[in-house]
Amino acid sequence: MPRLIWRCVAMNVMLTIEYRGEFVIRMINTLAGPLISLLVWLTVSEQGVHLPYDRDQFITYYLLLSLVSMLTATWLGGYLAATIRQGDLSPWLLRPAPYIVNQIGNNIGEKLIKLVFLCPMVGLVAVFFRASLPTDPRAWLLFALSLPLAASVAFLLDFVIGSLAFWVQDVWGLIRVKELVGGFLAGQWVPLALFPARFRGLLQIQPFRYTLSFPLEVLTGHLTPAALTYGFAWQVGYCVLLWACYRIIWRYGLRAYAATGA
Amino acid sequence: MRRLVPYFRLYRQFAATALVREAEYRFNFVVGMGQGLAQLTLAVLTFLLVYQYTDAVAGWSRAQVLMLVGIYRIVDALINLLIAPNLTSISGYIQRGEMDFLLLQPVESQFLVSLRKLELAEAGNVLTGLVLLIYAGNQAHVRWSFVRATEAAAFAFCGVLLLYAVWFLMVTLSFWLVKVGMDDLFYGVFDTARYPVSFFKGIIRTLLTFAIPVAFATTFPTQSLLGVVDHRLLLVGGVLAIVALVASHVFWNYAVQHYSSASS
Repeated sequence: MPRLIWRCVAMNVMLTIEYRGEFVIRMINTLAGPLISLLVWLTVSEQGVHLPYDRDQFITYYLLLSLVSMLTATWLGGYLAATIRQGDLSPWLLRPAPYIVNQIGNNIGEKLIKLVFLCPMVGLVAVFFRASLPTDPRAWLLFALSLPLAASVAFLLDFVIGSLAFWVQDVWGLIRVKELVGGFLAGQWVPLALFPARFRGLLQIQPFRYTLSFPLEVLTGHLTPAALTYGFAWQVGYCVLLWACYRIIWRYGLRAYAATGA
Repeated sequence: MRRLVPYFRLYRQFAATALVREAEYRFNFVVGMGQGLAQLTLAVLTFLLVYQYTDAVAGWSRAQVLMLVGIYRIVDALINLLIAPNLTSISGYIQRGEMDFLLLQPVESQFLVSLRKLELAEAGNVLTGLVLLIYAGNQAHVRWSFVRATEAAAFAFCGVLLLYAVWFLMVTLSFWLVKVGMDDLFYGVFDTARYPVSFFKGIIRTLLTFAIPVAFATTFPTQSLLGVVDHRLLLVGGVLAIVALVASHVFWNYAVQHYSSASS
């Protein structure tokens, strides 16, 4: 299995390098969104308004947001739905690797290349803002632990929703809504720590927090040990739950799958 | 003037075709409307989150910013209605060799590639933007007047022309850089239009006013309605728009002359 994944990663790295121009522009955009939000919050905070985050925390949050949102991004839902609906899944069923392996390879392979483009840009911006990133190695270690978990939750969630195409004609609308609402609830625009306190309980148990916000909170948010344990438990829990959903959906989905021309 | 008559007639035909097409996919209209409403709600919520901590950001009250969000929604919908379906197709024409066919038509090729398609499903989003604008405007105690509304519309018109020209200049580069996502880049820039330019400082504000002129599309129209705009800016906007349109045309003609077709 690991060798299969690695082969798919290598294949996708080569594919990605073909389109390097496009990737430079995409990475500029990945950075631009968080930067705009950052500038707005810095304007607010310089007015002397008391905010839950100080200047350094905002800079850390939004700088790393661009990196984390790239590393936890998924784009397979729409492709998967189209593959199922148009019957292109059939050849995959004959191959020795499950379909999900190719998608994992595609996901990791593209991100490796994007990382090469994005890291220098983030570095430049960090120098420009004279960012003082957290120095506690424990925080970085926990961050490094929650990041792949976040990517897994996001990936599995997208995969499960895309798989609904086994039964539902049109899942694209659902995918769009998931992207919009999910981005908001994941802290893509406003850090979850700045939401009103009465929503905090709800925000902590919804899955999108664990796709993006949680790794950033681990690094910037001064979470108590209890809150850390609680967060990691939810993150692992969502991984397991979504993996189970994937297995069940594909088990019954493949029976329902009657590809055009198969 | 007489030379323009066939263009008007042609444009009416484009609109009629789009209407027929839209009638085929009525569900599309509902989906577009739903997505637009979700986007608008999230934009409003984002600002509500900012304004729970303060009553004013860079001199803008909450109601005033929500007016701007309404105008952003209108301009965004107009761009998606009239311009986006065309400009997002151009690099595809070049990749698939369909550009040759378009260049053979007996009308200006820039007209054809820029205005042929209309996405009428976006019309609903113009309406929701207008509703938000009027609601927030009343909360901001705007004294509505015909003159101010006309001035705001004129600013927004300059803004749309400028954005079109900037985007078109970017897209024209596809003759050389075939597979580069210029559309993503444009939308990345246009996203800044959902904030008043005064939220930004220094070089970025200057850039957003003159180089990538999103200020004309949303900030200045809102200020017109509030009666605090510098009227001379309208003249600046008009001149900038004309310069940008001419530049886009010159560059397009240059690119077409150097185009060596995908199939020959």
